Amino acid sequence: MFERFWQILKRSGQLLIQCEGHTDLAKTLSIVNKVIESNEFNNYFCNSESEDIWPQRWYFAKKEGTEKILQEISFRNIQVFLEDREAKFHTQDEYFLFIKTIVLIPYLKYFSNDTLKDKFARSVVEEIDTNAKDLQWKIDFGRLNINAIK
Amino acid sequence: MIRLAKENLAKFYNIEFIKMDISEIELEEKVDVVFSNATLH
Repeated sequence: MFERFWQILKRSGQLLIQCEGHTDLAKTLSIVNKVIESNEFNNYFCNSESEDIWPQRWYFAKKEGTEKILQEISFRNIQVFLEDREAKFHTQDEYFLFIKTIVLIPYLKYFSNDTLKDKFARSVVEEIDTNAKDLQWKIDFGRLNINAIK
Repeated sequence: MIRLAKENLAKFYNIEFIKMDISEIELEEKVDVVFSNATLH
């Protein structure tokens, strides 16, 4: 993909990207995983032989790996850095709506109806409410900033 | 999303929207800047 960007840039053109980085959602996803592993929901993420069918699909790039890719393509003046960008919500309801419609999307497809989807999302919120008060009500985004010149 | 962006930016004459796979992106003309926020991860 970065090679594509190289190809469409003019000489001395600039790459200016902010995306999810290595530390992104670390606390939030630890809570989600805890809810997945609970007796109430674990069977939705396993097949009939109790094998885990939930692929840990999140991949968040690191600074060093990104720099290496850009160097190999011949970008110059490369600046890559991680940045904590916490998003705060005024109420639990706002937070619930956000994680249900954004963060939990890949998880909710394992549920057959809206009632179950809602219940799973509510359980994540309840777990935070009970055991992770430092996450009330915020998302621990970690951004990777990428700046480079062709 | 693209429809809404078109509506919001309708007064700007020099903006063009092209829907394509970001990993297969091709443009007729080269550009000065590739900018992206919260799209890649």
